[in-house]
Amino acid sequence: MLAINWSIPSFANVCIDECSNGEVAGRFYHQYDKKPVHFTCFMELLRQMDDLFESIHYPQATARQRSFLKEQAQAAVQQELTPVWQSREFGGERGTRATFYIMVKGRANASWQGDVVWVEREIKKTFRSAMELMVLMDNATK
Amino acid sequence: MSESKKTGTFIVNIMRQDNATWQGELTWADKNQKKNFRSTLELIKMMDEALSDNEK
Repeated sequence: MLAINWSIPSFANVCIDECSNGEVAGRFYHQYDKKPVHFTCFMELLRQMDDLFESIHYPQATARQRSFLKEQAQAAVQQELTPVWQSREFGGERGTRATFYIMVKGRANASWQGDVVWVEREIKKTFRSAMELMVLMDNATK
Repeated sequence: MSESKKTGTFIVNIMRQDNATWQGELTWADKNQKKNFRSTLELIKMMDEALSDNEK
């Protein structure tokens, strides 16, 4: 039985429903909304998950995002979000093609670090960057 | 994601591969601006934001 930290605020249940031409589409669930967040490509998934982390200020980023448009990136206003799921319920949804539990524990080096679980195969891996996470998920969904 | 016609031209110069990711310099060719990036995540977000500005 894999050790899964259900209580981590950044926990995301990523349900992949389509894979084509090297891209994925699906939805992900987090603790603060019953409705899933839909995505149509890896980039959109990364962006939406990062927006979530910024809004809950977890994990705390060690660096501000650089930008062409803003001289100094503004920190997102922390939102007081309350978990709306009971216990591990948000981990119950499954993707048509694959399901991943992503637990981002840190945001150092302008990227993410944490653990990812491929639910169907019960395999857990650690990732040191968002790029490494994408490669792991891409290899799993091929 | 909604349909959009975001387009733009970038030059990505990857100078290092540390921390299991890429670091380097991104040039937004349309505006002749350069910025360093510390990860592929930062790179993608910078490009995406710039494309949103191009769309206006």
